[in-house]
Amino acid sequence: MDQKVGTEPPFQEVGESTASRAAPRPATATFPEIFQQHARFLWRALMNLGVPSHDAQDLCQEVMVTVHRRLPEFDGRSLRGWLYGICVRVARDYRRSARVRREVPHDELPAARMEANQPELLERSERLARVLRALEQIDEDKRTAFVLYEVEELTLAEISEAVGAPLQTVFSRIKAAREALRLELDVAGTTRAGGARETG
Amino acid sequence: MKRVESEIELERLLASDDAELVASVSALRERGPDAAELATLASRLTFQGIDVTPQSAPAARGTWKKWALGGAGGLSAAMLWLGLRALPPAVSSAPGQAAFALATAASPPGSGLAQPPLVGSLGSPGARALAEPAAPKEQIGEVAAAPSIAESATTAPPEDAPPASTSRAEPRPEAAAIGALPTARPTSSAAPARAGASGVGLPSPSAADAPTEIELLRDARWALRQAPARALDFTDQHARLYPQGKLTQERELIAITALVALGRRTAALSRGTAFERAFPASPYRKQVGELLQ
Repeated sequence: MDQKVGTEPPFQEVGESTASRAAPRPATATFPEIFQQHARFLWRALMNLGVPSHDAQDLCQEVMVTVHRRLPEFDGRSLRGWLYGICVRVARDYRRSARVRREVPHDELPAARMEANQPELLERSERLARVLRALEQIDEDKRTAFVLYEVEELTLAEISEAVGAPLQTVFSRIKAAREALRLELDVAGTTRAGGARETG
Repeated sequence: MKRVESEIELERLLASDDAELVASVSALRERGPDAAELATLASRLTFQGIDVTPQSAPAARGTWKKWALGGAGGLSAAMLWLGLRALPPAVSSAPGQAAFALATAASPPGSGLAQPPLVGSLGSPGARALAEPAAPKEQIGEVAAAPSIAESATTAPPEDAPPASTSRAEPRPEAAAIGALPTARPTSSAAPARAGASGVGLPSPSAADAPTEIELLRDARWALRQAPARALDFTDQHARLYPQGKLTQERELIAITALVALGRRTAALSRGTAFERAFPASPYRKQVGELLQ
């Protein structure tokens, strides 16, 4: 699926005639279409923007309710930029509020206990834990730009729309995030007790 | 959205072959909800009156009707919820209405049959009739109607029913599932026994007859309007049957609303405070906050 284009293809149901494929795309997707196509990724983005998994569902619901409420005012230009803009703001407000239950990222490891006997899974869990700890160390603007570009694969223009910063600024933040992460991962690699992995 | 050359150039500059970076990004990309969690989210949005089931173009109402009658239990539930919200409240202050009103719908409580926009987009005339019961007695019958609609689907599941999701392993799976039609209730049974039964004074139902979370809370919310004490019976029943329920926040919101409607401010305050502590990120925290004022 081409993720780089601003508008998403309309939801196609089994049984729709092919004639409708040729029809001009609607300017705006409907809410159910948006939910079906994007909810999973917005949830993922919330987590990678620093929302712990135990609160991610609540916040994703909040994002969806906001999307639903504000969809009528969407100008139809960049859907993903608009969606992720809401996501970024919700995540930011959450992290800044007093109600955040701060927990160490290691508890994010999915069912780590089941992976003890499976080295590849264990390694993947460890890598995830490493990068999450590293992400926690870099500042929010850089982290956001990095997550949206690398993980969610938004275009620079979409990120620009989502965070309200110029293209060049977004570019700089991504570069800076990568360098900062590299540093954090290197430090983590060299300080790991008995670590046998090569870093870099 | 047109991409300007400078954007393309910048993205070219960002090309990287850093293996560690690629592996880390790959790990981040694997995070996210599983199917059950998404289904729960879908249920909770449906519970708020926000439909998440895709439909074909508005012209194709026949298709929608097939879904409604073919046992899309979650969709029928959503209709009933929306129908509920459009009815005039029995109590003038209608805290229950405030708790679940959609921001866009914004039909004031006293607006009678003014339908929020979503109902319009869902409604084929036959289905709309289901959403407009006239009197309390009929309303209870309304609630029973939904199970029997869904029942026809349990014997012959719709051909595009989703594969059994992991949530089926739970006491009662949610009605709404992402990526497909809302699932019919899998063991819908004894609908007349449920309809109108508050559960109080009756022997506890066996697992096979147990109402789903959505059914219980739908009954609870329905009762909020005319009989808040009865709403509390339903929420107590939900808490007993589903101590780790997916719709726990929704239950608590209904219970707190009922307590406020009953004038039991101390109990409401204590339960509301517990809610705020347990669910600091809740999408309902604003409603709870308002109820406690």
